[in-house]
Amino acid sequence: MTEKQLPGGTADRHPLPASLVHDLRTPLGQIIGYAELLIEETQEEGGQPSLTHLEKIRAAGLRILALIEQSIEPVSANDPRDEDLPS
Amino acid sequence: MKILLVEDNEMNRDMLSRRLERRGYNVVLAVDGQAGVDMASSDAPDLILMDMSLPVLDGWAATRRLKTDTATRGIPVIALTAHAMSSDREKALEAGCDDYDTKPIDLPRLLGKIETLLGGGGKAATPGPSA
Repeated sequence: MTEKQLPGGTADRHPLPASLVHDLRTPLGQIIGYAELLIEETQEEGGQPSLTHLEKIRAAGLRILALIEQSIEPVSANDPRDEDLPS
Repeated sequence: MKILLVEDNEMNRDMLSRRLERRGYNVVLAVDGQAGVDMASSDAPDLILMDMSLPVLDGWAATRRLKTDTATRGIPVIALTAHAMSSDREKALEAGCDDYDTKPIDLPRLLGKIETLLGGGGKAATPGPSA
């Protein structure tokens, strides 16, 4: 099977607007950064993960979810490739 | 070693400053480009981490000001941006930044750049948690 035939291969990808990429990378960096901070603290101190840090991870994750939902739905609704897909 | 972090996003400021402080760096914070320029003079940091998309004065303009002022031109500046285009790197270097890194932050990579710009003496003397 060639890359073109693989679902999700580069031939199937469409570049996201630069502004959307920027908006996604910011909360994603926060999720990754706080997660790494928790890992460091857990490894070095052996303590329980901080509830404050976990709440920040959750908030950033919800922000990414909201961004994705806002961005993808209008595109899918207008994408002619989706016309034959079962609803 | 003192690092000035110029970042308008509260979570990014909090997260990165904590991670640097855990490695023994003294981190001072500015929330916009103008405050960053002012604190570069008043706080005399050893290095500046400069977000580029900033209110009041953006990171490119702030860096140009720092690099034209004899009092601050010697302070290394690392540009930080969530934009990953190669043109962003060129734009940052043209503004006078000494190096460039992208968000999400790869901390080991960023620490390597910090230590290189601080001449190998920048690594915290006592790495580890800071309270």
